[in-house]
Amino acid sequence: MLQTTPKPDAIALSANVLLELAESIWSSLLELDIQRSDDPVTEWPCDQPLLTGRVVVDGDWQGSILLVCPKAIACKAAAAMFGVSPSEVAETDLSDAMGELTHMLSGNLKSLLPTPCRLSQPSVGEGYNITTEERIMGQVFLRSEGLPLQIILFEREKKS
Amino acid sequence: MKILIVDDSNAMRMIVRRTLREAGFGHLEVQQAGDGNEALESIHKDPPDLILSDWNMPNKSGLDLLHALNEEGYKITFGFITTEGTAEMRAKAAQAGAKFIINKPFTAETFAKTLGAFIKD
Repeated sequence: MLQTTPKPDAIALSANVLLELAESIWSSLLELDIQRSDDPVTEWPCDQPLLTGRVVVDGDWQGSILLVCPKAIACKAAAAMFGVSPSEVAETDLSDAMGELTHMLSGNLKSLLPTPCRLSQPSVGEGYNITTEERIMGQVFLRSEGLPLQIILFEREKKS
Repeated sequence: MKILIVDDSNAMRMIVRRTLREAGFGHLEVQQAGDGNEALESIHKDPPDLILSDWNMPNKSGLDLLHALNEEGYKITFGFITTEGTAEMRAKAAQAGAKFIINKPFTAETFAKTLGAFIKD
């Protein structure tokens, strides 16, 4: 069941916190532009698949952190990380780069979550899959290189 | 002087190598390993002078690697490069003998400042 009201220990992260984290990663490691988007993404570009990086958080706080973006953004990020052109990025490198970006975001967010909690290894898949057992505790819509991306923090209801 | 970079992400290993060059350490010999087990194998064959290790890796974590090196009697300068920087983790790292923790994302300036104390020409 979804929680309809925040629990006493519920956390909520502002979009600005998520933006700052993304900016620090994008500027220091990727040297790609990134800005907050005033408009939520209602339609993702349909000419290419979406990639979703996910890290699961377990412990006193349970949830997951997602990075969602079109494959083109992930490809540019991977190219920047590997120092090659986007056309030279292999699928395994794409997944590796996307996973590392998600893990970096998650590791930095971890310090803002109730402790103790631990992070899973990142997983990367195609599409935009959100389970109904999770509720959004923070999210930000961004644009990088003219394309949309989204960072979402989900809280999962603890199973008793 | 030899540096061993231990990280399960090939992308991150590339970035660490590039940042070492940007920080002025491009002349050093660099080895790489994808997890703690691979790192141990590499160290047994050819011990480095400095290890830069991720914390959270499959198979054998960075902390497990450091514990294994301590048990085997190695005295190699060891530092973590990690996304996680909680007080608990810092305490565990220091207790195990890690000399420093560099948080991801990092800059060449951070590398120069932190590693400069441990890298001899």
